[in-house]
Parts: sequence; structure tokens; C-alpha cells
Amino acid sequence: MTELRPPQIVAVIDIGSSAVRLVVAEIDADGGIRELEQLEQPLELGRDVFSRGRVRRKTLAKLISVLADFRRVLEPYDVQRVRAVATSALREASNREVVLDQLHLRHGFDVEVIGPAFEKHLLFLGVRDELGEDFDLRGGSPLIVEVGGGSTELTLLRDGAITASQTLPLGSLRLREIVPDSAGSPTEVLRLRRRHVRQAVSRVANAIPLEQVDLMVAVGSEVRTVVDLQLPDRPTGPRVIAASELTAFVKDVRGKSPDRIARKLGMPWPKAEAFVPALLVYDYLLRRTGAERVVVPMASVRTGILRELAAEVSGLGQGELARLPTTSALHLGRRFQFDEQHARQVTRLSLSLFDQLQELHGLGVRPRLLLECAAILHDIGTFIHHKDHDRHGEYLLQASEIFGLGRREHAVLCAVVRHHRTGVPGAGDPGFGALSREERLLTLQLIGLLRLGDVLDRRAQAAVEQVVAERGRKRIRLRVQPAVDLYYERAAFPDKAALFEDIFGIPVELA
Amino acid sequence: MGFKTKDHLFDRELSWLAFNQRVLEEAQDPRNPLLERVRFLAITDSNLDEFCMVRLDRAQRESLPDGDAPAPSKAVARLEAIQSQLHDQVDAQAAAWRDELAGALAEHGIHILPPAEWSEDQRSELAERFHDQLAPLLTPLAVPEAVVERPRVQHATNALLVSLRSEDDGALRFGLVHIPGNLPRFIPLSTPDGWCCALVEEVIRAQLGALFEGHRPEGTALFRLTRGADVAVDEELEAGFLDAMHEMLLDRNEGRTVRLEVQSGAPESLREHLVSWLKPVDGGLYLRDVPIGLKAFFGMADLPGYDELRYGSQPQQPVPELNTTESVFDVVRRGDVLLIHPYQEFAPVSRFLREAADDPNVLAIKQTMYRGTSDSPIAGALERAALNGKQVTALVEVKARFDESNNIHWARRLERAGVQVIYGIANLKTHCKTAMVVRRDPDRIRRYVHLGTGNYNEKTARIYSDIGLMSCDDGLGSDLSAVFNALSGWSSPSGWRKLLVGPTDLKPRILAFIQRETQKSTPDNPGRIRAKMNALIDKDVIKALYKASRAGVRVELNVRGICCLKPGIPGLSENIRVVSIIGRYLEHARIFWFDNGGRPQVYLGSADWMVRNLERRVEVVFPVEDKGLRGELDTILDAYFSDNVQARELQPDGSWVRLQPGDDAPFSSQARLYQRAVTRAREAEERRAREFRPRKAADEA
Repeated sequence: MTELRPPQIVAVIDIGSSAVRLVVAEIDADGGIRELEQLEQPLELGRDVFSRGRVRRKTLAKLISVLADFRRVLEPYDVQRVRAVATSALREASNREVVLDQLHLRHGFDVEVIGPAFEKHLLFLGVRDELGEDFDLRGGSPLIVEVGGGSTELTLLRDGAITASQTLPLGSLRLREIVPDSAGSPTEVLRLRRRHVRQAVSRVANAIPLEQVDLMVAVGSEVRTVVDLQLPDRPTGPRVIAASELTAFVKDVRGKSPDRIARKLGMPWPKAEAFVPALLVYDYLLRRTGAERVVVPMASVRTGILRELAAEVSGLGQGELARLPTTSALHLGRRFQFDEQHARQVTRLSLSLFDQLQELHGLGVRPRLLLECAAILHDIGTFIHHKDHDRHGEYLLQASEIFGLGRREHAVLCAVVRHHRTGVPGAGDPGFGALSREERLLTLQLIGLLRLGDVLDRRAQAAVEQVVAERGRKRIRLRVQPAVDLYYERAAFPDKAALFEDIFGIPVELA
Repeated sequence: MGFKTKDHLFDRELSWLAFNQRVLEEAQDPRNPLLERVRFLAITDSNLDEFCMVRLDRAQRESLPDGDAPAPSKAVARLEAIQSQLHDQVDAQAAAWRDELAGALAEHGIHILPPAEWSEDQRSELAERFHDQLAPLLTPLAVPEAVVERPRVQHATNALLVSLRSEDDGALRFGLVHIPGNLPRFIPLSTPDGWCCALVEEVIRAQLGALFEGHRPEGTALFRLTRGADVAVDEELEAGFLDAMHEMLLDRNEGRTVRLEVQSGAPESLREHLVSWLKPVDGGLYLRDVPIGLKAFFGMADLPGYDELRYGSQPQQPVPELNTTESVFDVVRRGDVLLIHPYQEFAPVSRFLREAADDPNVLAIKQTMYRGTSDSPIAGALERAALNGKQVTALVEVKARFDESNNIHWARRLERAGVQVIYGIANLKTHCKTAMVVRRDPDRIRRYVHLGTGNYNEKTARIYSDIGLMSCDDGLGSDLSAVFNALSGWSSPSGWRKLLVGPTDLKPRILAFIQRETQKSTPDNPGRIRAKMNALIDKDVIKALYKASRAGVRVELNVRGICCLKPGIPGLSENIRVVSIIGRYLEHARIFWFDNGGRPQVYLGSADWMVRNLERRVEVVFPVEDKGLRGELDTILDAYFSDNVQARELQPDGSWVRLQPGDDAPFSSQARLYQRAVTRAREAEERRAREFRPRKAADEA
């Protein structure tokens, strides 16, 4: 899948708390991305969800009509892939499934509700990619801040990797829901909002050491507008603004009514309303950190998804970026004191089999990544108890975040870990049963491969250095090197290989 | 320094009147060819119609008392000043015709014969003509005593009020005949030499008896009524919006009578009858001793033959880059191209869209239309593209003042062909002139754009000075995509990369450019701003320019029409110079040039520096980034600011002084720019002729 192809067209739909957005981009064979269209339609899903807990019918109708418009934009292009995601508002909506079903029914868009961890991962991808070499994120302690409509995502980096992250229930919309304009005089409203921001940030202050931050990477349309206004020209890349300048700007505008902001800054009304509340969050966070500079990139969750799509379309991985879930899984494994040597051995063997049997299963990079994570984490349940460690592993994993995995992918991972030992999962199993048909098939394929890798390190001694899968017409024969004594492995092998044989329809034996 | 509107700005209506006065000067200028002078005269009249309908109407409404409150004295004083100047101008206009042009035309054998001079033969010839061709198109109407039963008088149409004596009972009655605008104004008379005609109103007047049977006409008054037109359409009612516009066009009868022109020789009783019936506003009665509705004299300026009485022909020159059989897309892919109209042809723009319509690799075409013509080749191209299965989006602005009929026709036709037609957006007039073609090139998708300062109208492109840019720059393309998505209602406008887009951030950015110039200016390296536009009215921009002037920035402005900025006032604007060019071609391009500390930036666009354009219209102002093309624009600006033939300079007191060559050689910017286009085309042709071009197999076929 790495041969050169003509540019492909992909689209990303992002259903946020205060707007729905569409990006259409062209991806070259070498993974280069050119954005063709960018659309944004204000739609305050968050206003419904944060106050009533659900998306109102009227808002859903509006969402459906916005997506109908977006489809018209896609019409002239030959779009090969559409990826639709939803963030904080839909995440919290009690009628989320109804909304998702409607979008599927009306437009055929399968919207993936992404969790905060994945959102931060995507943002990180986008930011990393854009800042590139101009701003080395590997030195110091940069903090990525994205203030959305319903949530604020904080990601602290150290040595270029994510060391801490938090999601604050703070956003331009949520702040206006919690402290509405009617709460008092404009001065009073401002005071209450600032107090709320302060309180919300203090609640996470011990989980994320803000005072260590020496560079703030501020993402979001409001802060981008601030930088835009500082200069008559609009550079297209990331821009830097002094912390004092941003603070001074916020001080200047925070007392102004949305109406004045709309007129003075030439902003559409919904944006003008969100402007000051969002800036209050950046401003407060900035004051809490020691950062003297703020980098404002153009990146967003959408650019992160584009990067992912580019990696898929071009077939080119992204080096360490693509390994982010792996790193995250290893961190998690260590937290649950896993047998790292065994985990790494199983991972190595499973992936080796995965790669050698590529033609058989035809799976791509993401499933491979899931197999890798599952192999790393398959035994973490032993942290609770060896007995039923597959069950323990499932719930530990369900309660944990793996950076870089989507919500559905995370569900598949949990199911693989849950059933990595024996038996055939069925529709009656809660985790597995909740998966879609395709996801179930993928789960079974991954379990089949994982069990082979697992059984080859039955004694957890990492004795096998290499496994070669010889594919004959009637069976697959696994040869291991060095030729160590495989007594225990052989004994367990038929049982462990049974699922593989069922799924792939070819017997596998240990030579 | 405190800013007082009264002290620091010229009144915009008075400034407009000064502009029309400059046009009138061209009618008075004996150096201009005679029929061109007639044309300028007709332009002043046409301008005045628009002015009275819109601006005068507004000034009058502003001066009305609000409820029981006394009339606002400032507005009343202002209205008086406007009306006083208006009357003076109308008198001067009449004098130009009566005392100069009519006689000069006669010397060249062009005569408008008054009825008294008609020979017997001519009389019967006209009578015949009347019965055969005019009478069927005339509708005599009774004007009864009861006001509610009286017919509606049509806006801006010559009409005759007739007092009639009944042949039955000897009673005095009144009748009305409109003289429809589609009748020829000049009825030619056979004459041994030269060209003779009678005015249509005189021909009808002479035969009135035939229209009102059983009555004897006793007296007639030729008159013309102008109504206030600023009627807001309720834009909330999206459905049926077109029909609403259509209706409004048919009977623009809501407005008050802002002007009543009556032929000066009309009997007093009829004049009084008209005044008491049509109730012109105070000062709204104009007695004319020249033909009413001089606008129709455009027809005379185009009189066949007599070319020696018009400007010599200046055929439009090809755009060298695009004067090939090569595809427009291939040319533009090699580099941006400027089209400088009317000196260069508009045809490449039509060709661009025609090629797009038939190109299988083109995915979509989007275009704004403003004052499009129904028979335009561009319309045809868009239609064909839609039939070829491309996604075609046309924005047809139906609120284009006074020109709606054309646009509505156009819109319906495109819709039938499957084009997605957008009728503008509520509350905002779409004024930008842009077209975009999305094309799948072999290596990638590209957006080819045409951004212009003028309308997509081949006819006006022969008379208006406009500039267009063709490019496939990604930044321009992605911004223009976003503009169209916003116009379609598919996206809210945001995040521009290169364009300045009104009403979003156009004004803040223009202000930021001026401010940057102000901040960078030092005594050794003063900042510099050069800008060309049709009108300069926006107070915030003017304030910013005053500030720039005080910081030493040299500001040169070329403003064709209204300019509220006061130049050359010590301590305020001594570094600002304002010139205006009125000539053969209508100056229309907007060019904004900022020195930017020696790294100049140039923008072109559709927006004047008026509140209306900056805050209430969808406007697109675009950068010209190619160094060579920027140099071209420098040359154009240099020409405008060196003109000493057609240029006038605005004085601190608001008067305009015509610049004279003095000891310098006479320099006309328009003549120079035409010459330049000719030279460029010829040089390109010569280069081509010298080129060694191996004939390829394909050429033989």
C-alpha cells in the first residue's frame, strides 16, 4: 500500500460545542497536505447539552441541515475518505446515540465521538506538525492550551512527550451558561466569570504543574483572532506574541460588549459573543504559568486528523508520532506493574506474525497499532489478581486513557484484552457485544494473532528470538529460532490456535 | 486634536455636486469633441437623477420634523445648501446646452428644430409618423377632479399635462400623456443637408387633438417627476424576494416627489395644477428652458456618422500573456496576469469561463454577478458548464440599485440551466467581482481565480477603467472558496489568508495598514500611501489619514467622486494631496498602495473607502504579490498622479482646481495608459515574430 498514487481527497467534519466545521484537503502520495476548503458554521450544541443535558430536536435539525450544506461542498470533489468526529458537547449529550443514528441515516456520516485524551492527541499531532522545526517542543515545558466551546484541553509536554494532561469543564459557551449575561451588571458578570475560571483551574492545579510551563501554545480561533489583529499582515504559519501583549489585549477588550466587539473587530455575532469568555481562560492560565511567550499555531483537532489521514492514505507512518499510543500503553502497563519483558516479547512476536501474514488478514496500520497496544497490555489485570486477570484487565483499561486511540478503537482494545485467553467471545459479552459487526471481526482477528504471540512465550522467558510463518497451501507452519524446548508451548498450542483457525480458515501448527 | 465633523470633513452631498460639476466642465470644455460634450451633458443629467432619487431624498427626509419636535436646524441648513447648489448646477447645465452646445451642433449641421421652424412638408411627415408609430404606444389618461381617481404619474418619465376644452359642453378638463422611455427622443426630419430632427414631445404635442377625441387642447405642460427611491425591501422575506423586487421596480411609486421639472414656458395654471397635485417638496420645483430629461441625449452623442465629432477610435489591445492559442489555465499556471481595462480587452475573462465550461477537468465554477447583462457570453458559459454537469454557483445581486431588471432576467435563465443561483445575502449587498474555477490538474487540484475591480460586463469594460488579476495562488483560491461558501450560506466567514473581505475585517485591516505607515514614518524615511478610489467618505479612515499626515506620511489620493477629506490644511493634512480625473474613460479601479518601509504592498478591489463599502457590503480586496505586476501598478499610479490635462486638485476650501501643464509637457494619464497598452501588445507581437518556433507534428494537423 505504499506505492505512489495521485493525490487523494479527504474530508474532516468536526462537530464541536459551538460550531460545526469541515475541512477538505488533498493529500499527496508523500503525505503532503493541501487544504482546499474550510467551512465553519456556528451551532451551539453546547448550549443545549450544558444546560439540559441533551441536544434539542431543533438543534439536531439545524445540524442535519448544516451537514447537508457540507455535502454540497463535497459534491464536485471525488472525496475518498470522510472522517467525522464530535467533541465535548456530543460526548456529554444523553441522547448522543439518537443524534449519531440520525446523522448516519440522513447523510451516511458515521460520526466518531472522540474522548478528551484522543482530542488532545490529535491536537498535539496538529501542533507538532505545524510548529515543526521553528518551535522545538522538545526543550523546556510547553503547555498546549485549547479553549473550546465546552472544554479546555491542557497538555503539558516534557522532552517532546506528553507528561500530563487535563480537561477542564471550561469554555466560551459553558462559561456563558454558568454565568449568563443576565447574572448582573457587565462588570459583575465579568468578575463572576473570572472567578469561575480561577476556581476551575485551581481544581486541577496539583495535577498539572502550571508554574513549570515556560511556553504556552495557544490553540483556538479566538486567540488566533487576537494575533491577527496585532498585525496588518496575516502570516500563514504559527505566530508568536509576548505574554504581556496578550494580557494587555485581554484587559483592553474584556469590558466591551459583544456588540462593540462585533463592530470594532469586524466579527460575526456568534464569534463576538464567544470572544471575551474564551480569552479569559487563556489569560488566566497564562498568568498562572511562567511563560513569557505565546505561540499561536493554526492547528486544530482537524489538522491532527488530517495528519492521521495523510499517514493512512500515503501509507507512510509518522515515526514517533504514530507510536504515541504505544508509549502511552507502556506507561499504563508500568503503572499496573506488568511483566514488561513478557509484554515486549509477546508484542514482538505478535507483530512479526501480523506482518508476515499481511496477505492473509489484509489489515492496515491502525489495527496493527491496536494489536501492539493489546499485546503490551494483555496481562495488566494480574495487578488485581492472576485469577480472571483478563476481566480485571478489561475494566482497568476501560478506566484508563490511551493517547492517540479513538473511542471505538479503545473499545476494540478492551475487548481484545478481555478475551485474549480462551474461548470465543459472543454477542452476549457486554464489551464485545457493543461493538459493530466490523469491529467484532477485527477484534477476533486481533485476538487470533495475539494468542499465537502469547503462547510462544508461555513460560515468560522470552526464549524465542524469531518466529517464521511458512504459509503452505493447506496450513501455516510456525518455526521458531533458536530451537529451544517448547514443551509447554506445544501443550497449549492447539487450544490457543483454535480461534485463529476459525477466523482465518487455515490451520496453524508449531513445527 | 478634537475631531469635529463640521470642521474636518467636507459635506458628502456637496462634494458629490462638485463631482458632477467636474463632469459638467467636460461638457463645457471646447477642447473636447462636440458629441462627447453632449455625452458628458447627458451623464450629468443621468447622475442628477440618481442623486435626486437617493441622496436628495434622504437629505430631505432628514430635515423633516420628527413628530412635534421642531425641524432639525442643521439638517435644514444643509438641505438648503444642497438645493441652492443643485439649482445653480441645473442652471449651468441648461446654459451649457442652450448657449453653447445647441449652437455648436447647428454649426455642424445638427439641428433640433422647434415646431415653429417645421416646414409644411416636415409637418405632414411628422403627423404621419405620429399616427403610424407613436400613437399606438401612447395612452391618453383623464385627470379627474378627485385626487384619488387620478392616474399614477410615472417616475422619471417625460409627460404632458394637457388642459382640454370639451367640444360637447365646453367644460375644462385635464388629460395626461406619458412619453414612454422606449420611444425615440429624436424624430429625424428629411433635410437637404446635415441632420435635422424634432423632439418626440413636440411631435406628440402637435397632435394632441388626435389623442383626446371630442376635446380641444388649450394648453400643455411638459414635465418630469422624480420620486425618492430609497425604499427598503423587507429582506427577511426570503421567499418571493425576487417577485417583491420585481414589483418594486414596476411601480416605484412609494417615494415622495423630490423633484418636479416643468418646462419653463408652460402656462401658469397648468404649472400650479401640477404643483398642487404632485406636491414636490420645498425647493423641489425646477423650471427648465431646455429639453427636459437631457439624459436621453446619449442618443444624440451616438448619432451615426459624425465620427469627427467624437473621440478617435482606441481599439482595445490584447493582453500579451493571454494572446495565444494556449489554454488560459496553462498561462496562469506559469504566473499571475493583470488585465488593464479598458485599454486591454476583456475577452480573456470570457474566454477563461468558456474554457472552464467545456474542460472535462473542471469540477466547479463560482462567480459573482453584479450588473450582468442578459446576453453576456459569460452567462452562456455558466449555463453550458451547468449543463456539462459541473457544479456552478452564481451569485446574482438583485439589489444593485436601478439596474435590477437586467439581473432578475439573468437569474431566472441561469436557474433554468441548473446553476445554483444565490440572491445575495440579507442586509448586505454583494459588491465583490470575483470568479473561480476549480480544476483537477494532473498533479493536483488548483483554483484559478479572476479577481476584479469592475463588473463582469463586456460593455462597461470598454468605458470603465478597471483592473483584473488572474492567478492560481493557493492563498487567494482558498480565501475565495471561503467567500463563496459564506455567500452560499454554507459557512460563516472567517480566517482569511490573503484577501481583505468586507464587512468582516476589511476595515480594521485598511486602518491597520494606514496605522503601520504612520508608525513606521520617520523624517528621513517618511511613509507613503497612494490610493485610488471612487469615493472617500469613511470617517475612521479619514481620521487615520489625518493622523498619518501629521506623522509625516505622504498621502496621495486619486478620488474620482465624493471626497470628504480636507487636504492641505496645516496641522491636519498638509501632507495629503487629492486629485480627481474625469476623462474619456470612467475611472473605476480601486488601488491601495502602502510603502511599508520600502517593501511596498499593493491591493486592488471593489471597495471604496466609504462606510457603505467597508461595513455593509461584501467586498473583496486582493493583494498583487508578483513583483513585475506590482511594478506595472506603480506605473499606473505614477501616471494618475502626473496627469496635468484631465486632473483636478482638491483645495482646502473644497473647490477643485484644474491642473495645467504650464511649462511641462501635457500629460494625460488615460492617453498614456492606452499608449502603454498599445506598445506592450506591439512588442509582444514583435517578439513572437522573431521567435524560432520549431513546427511540431501537432501543428501540421
